[in-house]
Amino acid sequence: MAKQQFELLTETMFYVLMAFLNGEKCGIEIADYIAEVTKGRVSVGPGTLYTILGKYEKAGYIIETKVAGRKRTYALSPIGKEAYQTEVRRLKQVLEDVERMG
Amino acid sequence: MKRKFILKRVKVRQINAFEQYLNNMAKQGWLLKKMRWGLYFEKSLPQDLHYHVALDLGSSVVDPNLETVKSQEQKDFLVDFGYQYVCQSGVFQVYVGDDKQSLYNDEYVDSKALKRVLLKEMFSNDIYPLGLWLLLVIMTFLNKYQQLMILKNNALIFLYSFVAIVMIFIAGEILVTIKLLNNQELKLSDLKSKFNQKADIAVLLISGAIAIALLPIQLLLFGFLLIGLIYLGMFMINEVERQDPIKRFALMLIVSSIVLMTTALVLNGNVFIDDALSILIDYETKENIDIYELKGLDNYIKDLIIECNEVKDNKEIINGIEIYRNEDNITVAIKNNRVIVGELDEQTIVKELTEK
Repeated sequence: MAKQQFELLTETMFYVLMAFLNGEKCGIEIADYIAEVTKGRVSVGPGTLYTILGKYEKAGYIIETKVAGRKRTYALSPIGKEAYQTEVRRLKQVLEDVERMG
Repeated sequence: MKRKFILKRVKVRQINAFEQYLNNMAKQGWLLKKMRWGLYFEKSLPQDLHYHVALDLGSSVVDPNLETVKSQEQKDFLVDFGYQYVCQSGVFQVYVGDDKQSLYNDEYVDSKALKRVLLKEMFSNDIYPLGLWLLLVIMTFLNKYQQLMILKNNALIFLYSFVAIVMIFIAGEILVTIKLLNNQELKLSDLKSKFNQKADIAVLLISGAIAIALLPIQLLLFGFLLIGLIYLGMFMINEVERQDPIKRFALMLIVSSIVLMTTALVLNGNVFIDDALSILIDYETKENIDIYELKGLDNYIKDLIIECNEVKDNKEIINGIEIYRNEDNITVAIKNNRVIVGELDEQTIVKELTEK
């Protein structure tokens, strides 16, 4: 199902959105969160993460909340939260289809 | 401190090989310090380093050495992750990291970024210079710059051939980039182009040798002067200001004006043109008669001599000799490739032009 701004949310992109659920974060905090939540299964390269954050900021999914020296902190916007929840519903539907069909 | 300069431009499709090249250089004790029209290394102890090249989406298409705000943001971001910033040039930022783990590991996200950077590189490195070369070729056909074309045939062929080869090379680069861009699933790991530091030097040496053999010394010196002025200007601009686009643009205008004024002074200088003519068309003076043996663009040079002596409106033909005179009794007489100029009577004209 096509997303509002993105045709596809890759696994990495999805976890980046998830990282903002419990508060604003900077780049390193996002990378650490993803590694912790996935128990090391998913790691995000810094270059990739920078690109994703740039795309999300442009799409309005996240907003910059603080700049302290080199560190920039972002938070999830209502549009971003909606995009996350849409993806969660899609993933749940996929899981239900798998469990039903085997 | 020992230093080394490698004349080599790096293309995006070479970044994997370039990273490996930098790692190998570090193992030999050469650390990259900056990239500007080539690679600058400093001697150090051999080290096992992990270089990483980041694609700079925020770089300027028009001014590749400008440190944009977006470039600075990416630099801050990666330094925060523990990467050591080395240098930036065009669409590249070079870092040293603690390990081999790639900066990029999401093929879908990275593919789009890669294509944007390839496009930027194509415009600033290929399309923009191709346009400048085309402009140069068009300018050579304008009357105002025809004097530059008073050259021996082989030198003229060399110049046009050189320009044609450069333009074909750039067109080839554009085609390679377009092929990469057309790959729907382009990945960073697909960039397998090798990085050969010796290729650019070989091309430069061969072109230089041919130019020295074929071009008049004045043109060579003038060419070196122009290249030196442009390089010095860009060097000074990059040392003085890398972050303010308006200041950089103003400095570039100043450098361009200096280069253009120098060019105009040299081209309009009678000494330069007269010397060029005397070398290229075999010229001598004998008993107050100027004698020219024409080679190369003969018709153009004939017209130039006629025009210089202001005789073109007064012409007659005797024994196959074209004779032009003016009110001051200056005569230009032409037969085949021989031209004589001076206060000439008919006897002198016939003697000089029919006995040879």
